[in-house]
Amino acid sequence: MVRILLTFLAMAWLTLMVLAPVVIVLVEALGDGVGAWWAAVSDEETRTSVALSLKIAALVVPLNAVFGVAAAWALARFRFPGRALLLALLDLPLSVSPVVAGLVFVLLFGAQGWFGAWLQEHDIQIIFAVPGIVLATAFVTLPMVARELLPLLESQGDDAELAARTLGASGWQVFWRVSFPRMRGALAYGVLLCLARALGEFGAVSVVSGHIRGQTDTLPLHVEILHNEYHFQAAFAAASLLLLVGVATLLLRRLHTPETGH
Amino acid sequence: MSIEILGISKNFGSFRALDDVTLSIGKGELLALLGPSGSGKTTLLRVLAGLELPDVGTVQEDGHDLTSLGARDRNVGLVFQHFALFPHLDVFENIAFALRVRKRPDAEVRARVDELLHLVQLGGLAHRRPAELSGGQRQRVALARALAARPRVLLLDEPFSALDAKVRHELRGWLRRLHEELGTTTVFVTHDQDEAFELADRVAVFHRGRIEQVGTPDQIYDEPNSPFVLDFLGHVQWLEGLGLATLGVRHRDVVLHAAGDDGWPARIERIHRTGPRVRVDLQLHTGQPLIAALEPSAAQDFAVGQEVRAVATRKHVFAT
Repeated sequence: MVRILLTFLAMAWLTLMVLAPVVIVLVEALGDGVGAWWAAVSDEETRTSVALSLKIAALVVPLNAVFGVAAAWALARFRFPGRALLLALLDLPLSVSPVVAGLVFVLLFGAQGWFGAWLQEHDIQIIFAVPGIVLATAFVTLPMVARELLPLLESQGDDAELAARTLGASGWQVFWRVSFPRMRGALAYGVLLCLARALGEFGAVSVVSGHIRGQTDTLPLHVEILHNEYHFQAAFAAASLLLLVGVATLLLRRLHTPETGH
Repeated sequence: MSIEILGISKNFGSFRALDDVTLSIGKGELLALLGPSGSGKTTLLRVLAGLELPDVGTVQEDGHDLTSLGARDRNVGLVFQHFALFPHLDVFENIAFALRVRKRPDAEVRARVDELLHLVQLGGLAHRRPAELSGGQRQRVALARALAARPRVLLLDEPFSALDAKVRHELRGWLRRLHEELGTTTVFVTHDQDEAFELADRVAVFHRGRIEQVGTPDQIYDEPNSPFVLDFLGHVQWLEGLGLATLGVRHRDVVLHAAGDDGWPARIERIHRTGPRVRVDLQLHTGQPLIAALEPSAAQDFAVGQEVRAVATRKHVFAT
């Protein structure tokens, strides 16, 4: 009886909170037919916003992947002074509100910010420009790869790597022949999560972007603009692209369950 | 190659893992490092492998100082307790690893790996992944992998502890034969005295980071030089009340007489069969317990409650 009740509750709640919005997005996006959906998606401004989002993801994801591998590696394999602090800092971007993250960058690099005067002197634009969006997105998605790798590396232990060393492998050989192949699955999933979040980030980007049409409008910001201007069908069509990214991420994880040790 | 370990000490924080250890290992020798967990034997093995740097002391090989040489450059073969095979590589590539990182030509790698697969009797399993192998098979892959680059020393950390009893016995005999065939200087760590005694030419007994005694299995069994060694080998009863000395009697060194004046008067409390021997629990008239491990034929004549004389055919006396 309890089992049936709990199952029903969980299903009902998920349907209401998750499934319904997904369905609504799709219904609204495709309500006027595939032709209308395509027209909205291939609209000039939507295309620029998609291109900008992809460009930012292309900059941020490799950066965070390299950082994530290095950070997870160092945290899992070594005990060093400041390790606890690094672990705490790694979680900060996940726990702090994205809006606060965006404001921090405005305070640092904005016209009235700490480095504002210096940046203006040298004619460098960060806030209300692409570099600001890259920074804000990188901050928000920073822990995603590292957080995915860390538990895997800790559960694997370092025996295989030590074995490789005794067998004559150099540091780089240990990494490329033993460590990297074993973390590939988790790394791929971390990168996917990072990608999905980089494409979808709204809060932090909204603060630093300045909403300059055709210049600093990422896809999520563009969805908001379309919606605010009562272009509902176009807004939902653009939103359906983001939904697609999310669903694809989940499907890819299903296909490739990361290795979890031996 | 002969190896000299000279005055090695190693601390982990406030824990003294190795305390002034000196030991020489002869060329071609099969040496066991025996001791309870935390006694320092694995730390010494890791120092020999170049995975730990000692705080004090040196490791020399034929007069050359190896102490600061890293694991990569020592050319030792190390077999880990849980084998540490590379799960993403098949058996062939696991064994080939040491040759691949040395960039040896393909034909040479193939020939050497085939030779080793034959040696460890895994010819048909070259393209299996470690996850598809039994424990004993993984152990043999680990051994073949460690031997691939013809190491000067083979080091084994608790090589049989992850295996079940039957496989363990088979592999012990096999490892002994392999050692005779290859003649590689071999050091292995174990907490199992039977394993140490069955396999090794010499045994070093560890206790709290120190070597308590080194010698052949016979020397260690017959002439334990400290209460710790006698106690660690097990099946011993300690008797007190003898002034300044501690007296240890092995269960199998106790003989019972139904009558007579020899030995200690005792009463039989319990008789039960333990494998090949019969264990008789006695209570001496002094109140102390004593155990006799008798041949079944010798135990036939006795019953619970009987008054007997217990004679120790051999006593180990240590000054306290």
